[in-house]
Amino acid sequence: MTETMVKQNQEIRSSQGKEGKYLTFALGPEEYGLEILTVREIIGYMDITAVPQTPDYVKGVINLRGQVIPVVDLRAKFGMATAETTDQTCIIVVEIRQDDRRINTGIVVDNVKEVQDIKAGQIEDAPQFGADVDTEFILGMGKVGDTVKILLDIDKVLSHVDVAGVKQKAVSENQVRTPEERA
Amino acid sequence: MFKNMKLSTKIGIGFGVVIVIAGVLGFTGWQGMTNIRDQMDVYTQWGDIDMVMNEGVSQKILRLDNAFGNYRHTPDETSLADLQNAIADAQEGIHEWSSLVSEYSDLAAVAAEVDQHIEMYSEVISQYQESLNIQNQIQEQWDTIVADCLALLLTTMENVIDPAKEQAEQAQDIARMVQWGAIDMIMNEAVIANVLKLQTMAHDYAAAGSEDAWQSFLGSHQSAIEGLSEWQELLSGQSQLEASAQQIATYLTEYHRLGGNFHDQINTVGGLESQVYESAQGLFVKLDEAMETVIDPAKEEAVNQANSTQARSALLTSVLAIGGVVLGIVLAFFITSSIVKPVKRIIDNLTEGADQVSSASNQVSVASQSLAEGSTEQAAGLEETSSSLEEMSSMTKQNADNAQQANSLAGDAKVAAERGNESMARMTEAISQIQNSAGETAKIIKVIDEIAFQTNLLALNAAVEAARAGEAGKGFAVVAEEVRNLAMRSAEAAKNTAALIEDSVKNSQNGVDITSEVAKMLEEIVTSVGKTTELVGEIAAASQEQAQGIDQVNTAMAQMDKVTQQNAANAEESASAAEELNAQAKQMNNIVGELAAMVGGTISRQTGSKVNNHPSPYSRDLSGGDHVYHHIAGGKGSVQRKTPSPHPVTPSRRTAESSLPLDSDDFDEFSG
Repeated sequence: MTETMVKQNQEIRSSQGKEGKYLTFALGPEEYGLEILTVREIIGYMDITAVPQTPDYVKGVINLRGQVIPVVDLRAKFGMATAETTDQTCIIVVEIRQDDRRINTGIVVDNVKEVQDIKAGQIEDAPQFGADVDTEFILGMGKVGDTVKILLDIDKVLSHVDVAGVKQKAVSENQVRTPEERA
Repeated sequence: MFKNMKLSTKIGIGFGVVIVIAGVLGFTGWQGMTNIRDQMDVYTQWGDIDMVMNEGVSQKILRLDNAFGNYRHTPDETSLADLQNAIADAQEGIHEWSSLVSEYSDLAAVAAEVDQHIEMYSEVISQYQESLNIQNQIQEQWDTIVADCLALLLTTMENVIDPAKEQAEQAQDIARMVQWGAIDMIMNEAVIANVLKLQTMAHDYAAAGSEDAWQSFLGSHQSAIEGLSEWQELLSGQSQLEASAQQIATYLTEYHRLGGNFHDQINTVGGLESQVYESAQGLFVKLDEAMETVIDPAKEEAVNQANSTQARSALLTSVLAIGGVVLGIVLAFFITSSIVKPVKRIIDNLTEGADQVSSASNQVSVASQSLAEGSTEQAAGLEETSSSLEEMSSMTKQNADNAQQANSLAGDAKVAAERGNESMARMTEAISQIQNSAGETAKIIKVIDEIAFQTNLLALNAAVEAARAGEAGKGFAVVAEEVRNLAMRSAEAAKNTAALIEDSVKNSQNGVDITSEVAKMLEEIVTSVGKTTELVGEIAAASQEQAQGIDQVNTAMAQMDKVTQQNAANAEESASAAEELNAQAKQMNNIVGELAAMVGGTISRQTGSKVNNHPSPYSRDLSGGDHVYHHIAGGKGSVQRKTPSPHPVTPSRRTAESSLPLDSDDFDEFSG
């Protein structure tokens, strides 16, 4: 009895750590949530400069007010079918930590929903599907109304992406043009 | 092959074989009978020969002998006639017999001998007659001699002796007296008595003709001669008396000579008689011989042959008869079975056919009933059709009027359609203007939408910034939220407006399409109206024709009515025919039964009862159906029901009435 209570309390405590504001967006019918503090900026879709010798899910780089930022297609990263770019398509610039470095990376999403406050009681741990299925990149499942929003740990989502390398390549090959140049 | 023959051929073959057998039998029998008859003819012939020989020959010869004996005994006219008759009779008999035996040479020889024998009789008779005549003459001569002799002696006595005796008496000459007395006495005793005795002997001999009589005659002649010579001795010296004695001696000699002749004649006659008798005896012997050697064996042979022929014929006939009977039985069995089998099969087929006819007649009956019902419904339909025709007639007139009105209306419609066309052109123009405005509005809305999107992004960024700011950014976060809400509302409104504008554009496009369609339709209307005008004219003409057609249809209806009634009558007839057919099927069944009984005795058949079971419901149906026809017929009165229904109220009758909801008034109305 007491053990279960202790376990519950621990869960609550861990959930309490996840409680906060989340920026929600959609990929197809599913909605995902990002911790608001990881988000730097939301921008509309703009032309992306493709970078050679990069994985499929790396769309390329953009020049955001003079700063070269690598852009990852989250659909491709998640192994989903690519979707056409619409008016609603946005790029969310997130700040990720890699090797104790903070790197700004853009991720392409179908559309941005809103900034939502999700309480600890609404958050559940990521479900376990077995040893083969890696659910480490999921922070938790946010229950809002009847829907479930997948709360992402973006650091882990992009942990294997050498975004810095991409940026370096782009810079070294001098193919990244400033917005001014583009204009 | 035999199975496939015609019945007549089969029976013909059977009878033919039987006829052939009968013919062979008959021929054999006939031949046997003919042979026997021939043998019997031969036997009869021999019997005839025998009989004729006995009756016509032997007996007649015997009779002839008898007659001859009679004649010889009393040779007068009667016996002669008898004899001659007997001869003729015998000749006739022998001729008859000889004609019978002419082909047998032995018998013919006998017959010739017999004939000769009979011929001999005639000769013997003539000789006999001659001899008799001679004998008679001799007797007459005898008598005359005796008479002469007696007369001489009497004259001598009167003239010589008596006067001499008287003289001697007168003279008393005793010597003389004794002399003359002796002369007289000797003359009386020795001469006259002996002459008379001789005469008697002669008569006896003539009568008897025997040798004793002949010897007596000769003896008395001798004693007469001795008496005469004794008398002559006394007469010496008496010349007269001596002359008389001499004369008497002459007479006696003559008498003796005649006696010799007579004796000869008697001997001749005796010879003839013995010849005749011998001949007759020989004949009898020969006849007996012929009888024994020829006739009896011939008869026996004929009988034997007849017997053997009869035995042969009997054997042949019985063998043939048994063979014929066996063959006939076999043939009869085969032919009978070969006839009876197909006939039985035919009977079965006939029975089946009769049953089928029976059931078919029931079906016909049912069909007649349904026909009657159909006629009823037809009558009702005819009435409806008639009223419909009246309506059609009035409608046709109305059609003509309406066609006229439609014509003028078509003109108006044409004008209206042309005006509508003009309006349509203007409307098209207006709609395109609306479309243009809508396009521009849509552009504006898009701009608004973009602005709302950007505002939303800004609000979100602001919210992000506010969150980063922590407690300090809380107020800012609220503002950002509000801004975002506004942006969302604006985007929503823009979306709604865009949808509306899009609808409006779509509708205007529809309007344009519809307008062009309407224009096209209006043009079609114009042309259609032209056509309509033509058609209306045609409709008017057609209405006229329709009116005529309706008249024709009316006459056709009358005809149909007639036909319907006839149908009803026919149904009645058909029903009665079905009844008749059923009865005939029954009769046919009976006939088939008779045939079956004739062919195979009794045949197990349940079909007869089956047929008999049918009529009761069938006749009831008929009566119900009849009633229907009666009702139909009653409408016109052309068909009269002959017999009233035996069942006043039956279910079928109620059905019939309900199936014909008409009465005669309805029909009168209809026909009127």
